[in-house]
Amino acid sequence: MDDVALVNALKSGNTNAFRFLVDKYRNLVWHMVLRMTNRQEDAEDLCQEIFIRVFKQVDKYRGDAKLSTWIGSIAYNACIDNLRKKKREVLSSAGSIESIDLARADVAPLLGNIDRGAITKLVHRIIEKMPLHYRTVITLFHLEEFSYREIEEITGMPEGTVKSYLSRGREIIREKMTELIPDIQPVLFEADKC
Amino acid sequence: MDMKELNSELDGMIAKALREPPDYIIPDSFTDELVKKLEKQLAWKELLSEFGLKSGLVLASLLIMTICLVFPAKNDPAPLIQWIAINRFIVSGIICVGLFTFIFDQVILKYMFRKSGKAF
Repeated sequence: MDDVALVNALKSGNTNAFRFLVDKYRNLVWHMVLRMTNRQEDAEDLCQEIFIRVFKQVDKYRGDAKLSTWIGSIAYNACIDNLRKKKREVLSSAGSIESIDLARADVAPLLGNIDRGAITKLVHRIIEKMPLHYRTVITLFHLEEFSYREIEEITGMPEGTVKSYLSRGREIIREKMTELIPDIQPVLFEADKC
Repeated sequence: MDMKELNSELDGMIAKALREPPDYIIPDSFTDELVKKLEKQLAWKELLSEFGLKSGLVLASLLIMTICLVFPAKNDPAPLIQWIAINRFIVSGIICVGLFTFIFDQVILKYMFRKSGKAF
């Protein structure tokens, strides 16, 4: 079922189409919610709320953007609302990238046995500690493979800002990795030989 | 392998890690639970709007009936109003019982039947 047919079926209140929509886009919404709110406990409730919102607002979908982008923007706004409501994070300012607080002790179990799996986990831990906009943009670009333009549509951030968050975000991950594991490069060298 | 190659290896590993989804996965029952929740919401919405429509029709009929009975005969409505005022508890009791029966029959009962999957 393509997006146009799916939207038309949803507009007529078809719950089977809703089931199809949820199955198709649940990972997108789940990843956005997890990364943006940094909380697993109420992620499921928020995801449900987002899909219900999608169903109720489907009449507003004009088809000038991809359905995934439109759903992404609803998820983004719902997460922002949720964070504001719970006052969990100052959205506007603060969250300086330089202030990422990730001590060696926090990731000690990962540092014991550095393999590719541990590196993935470490990268994820660093992302968790990043300010909201960085982790959102990184998730949308790398994990969900949205283009800069689509991220702009989802978040409302200008394309230049998106690029800047991405590049600075990757840079900081690199810096934090080499800071936490000073001997990471020889380790990589060893892993490469195996 | 020189430093440049090691750095690009590190970048490659970071890029790969960034494409990996978070550890927590969405529960398998997520879609089923969500569809059930939506169906429940839609059922309530449908039943309540149906109830509103039927109530409106009943009230409109009563109003028309009252107008037809009171005004053409040019009866003085004052005794009727006085009677209602004196028996206000009985009148409001009858209205409440009627309204509750109507809600129970048209909304709650229908919803319960729908929930248990029986046709009505």
